[in-house]
Amino acid sequence: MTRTLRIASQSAWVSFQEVATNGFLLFAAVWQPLFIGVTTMYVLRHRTDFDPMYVVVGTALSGIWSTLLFAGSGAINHERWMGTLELLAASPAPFLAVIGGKLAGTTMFSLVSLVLSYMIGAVLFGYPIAIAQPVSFAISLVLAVVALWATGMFFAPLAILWRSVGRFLLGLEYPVFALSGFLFPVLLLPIWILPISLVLPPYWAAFALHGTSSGDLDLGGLLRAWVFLLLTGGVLLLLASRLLDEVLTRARRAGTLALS
Amino acid sequence: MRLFGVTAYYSFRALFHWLSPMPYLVYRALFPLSQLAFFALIGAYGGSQPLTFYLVGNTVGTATLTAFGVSQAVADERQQGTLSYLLAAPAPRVPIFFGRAALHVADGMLNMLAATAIAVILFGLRVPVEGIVGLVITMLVATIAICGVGLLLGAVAYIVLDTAVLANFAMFIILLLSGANVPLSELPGPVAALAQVIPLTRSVAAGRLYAAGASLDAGLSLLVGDLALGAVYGVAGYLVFNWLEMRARREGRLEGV
Repeated sequence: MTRTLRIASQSAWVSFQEVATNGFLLFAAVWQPLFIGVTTMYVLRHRTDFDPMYVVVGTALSGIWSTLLFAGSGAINHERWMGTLELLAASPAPFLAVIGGKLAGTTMFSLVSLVLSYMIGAVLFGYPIAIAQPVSFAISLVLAVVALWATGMFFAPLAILWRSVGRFLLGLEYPVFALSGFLFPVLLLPIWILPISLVLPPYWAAFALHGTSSGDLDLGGLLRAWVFLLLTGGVLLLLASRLLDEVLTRARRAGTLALS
Repeated sequence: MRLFGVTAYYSFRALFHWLSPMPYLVYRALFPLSQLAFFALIGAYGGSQPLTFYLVGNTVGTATLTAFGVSQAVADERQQGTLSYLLAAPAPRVPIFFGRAALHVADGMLNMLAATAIAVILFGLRVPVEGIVGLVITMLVATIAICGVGLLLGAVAYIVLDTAVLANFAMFIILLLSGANVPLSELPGPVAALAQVIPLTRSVAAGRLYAAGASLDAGLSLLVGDLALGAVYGVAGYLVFNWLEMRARREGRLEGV
């Protein structure tokens, strides 16, 4: 267990440093949220019930999601391009721990979006930014980050096992912003779309974080959001574990990893 | 002309690895359409402007995606290992350089027509009959103007090395400052002034005029302005590319362009 954690933490640290110098992921975590946050602040500030914290939270989630979407779907492919995938597959280190650590490092880095979003609201626009339920918000943030990390873990093997699925995943940036209600309520979408939203961890992340930051969420709603974050994140992590096994099977037994 | 046509066809086709249609569908259909829907819905939620404002702004705004393809068609020569062959070839540079944008104009138009269809079918955008021709011309001008930006970005990418990041920067700056989502009157003075050198600002304004039923004459001067601005960007890209080529030849490091 200690050994696995050590591997995961080392993988996380290497990944953190890689992401911090990767122009594309830096754009996803820093610059894109900046543009989206500023645009949305301008568009939504005319509402009579405007709450700048709503934009701050939604913008931060958009940055975290974009970073994890691109990093997750490229996590194993990146190893292939670097020529280290076969080495990783042959290594006795648990593959799940290596990839999990890698995405944990990326997830930690993506939290820079939260700081940046706060700066947009507080410094650039000069709004007073306050969290109505700070403790619940902090717990929600931890659970949201874990669930989004699990989503990235699910994408990692999916993108390498089926290339066309991997390419399709890259197009899920804005659809998930919309389906999860990051910057506008999902009730603006057609009602038949709602069941799709309900199975997405980002939806529950937005539900919990918007609710606790504004103070509009009662205890029942909050607990429901937490349960669904754990549930959806857990299911995706389980699926990721199975798919990672399939990746190793292709690498070791079928020898078709590079051809998938 | 033959060189122009060959360059246009192969640089476009190579870009999307068209052995499978998925990359094309994702990059050129799903992404721009979901972007349009996302910003239109934020606008609808904000409610400060009528929905048509955001629908037209973001439909014309989908032209920004064209910059990705054009800039990559120029800059990917290095990544694909063909840059040295290109620079060593005796072929004239003008058709080779500008040919890279040719098919993207048609593709960008398809993109914007698809975006318009989404705006009409899903969001109920209604364009009066007298404004339809003007709106189609607006889309054409917006796409050509953005191709100019793409050519410049592609040339600059030889210096900064990351085309995708450059094109992303350009896309969001244009979407923020062109008036596609935020009225120019709301932007701070210097930023609003900057909007005047963005080759989509006038197209967005013209698109809104035509969507409101204005006659063709009403937006023509705006469109000419964006067309000229796009040409300036394109020529600037050509000059940058030529300067880099000259420097590379003089210093004997073709891959260092």
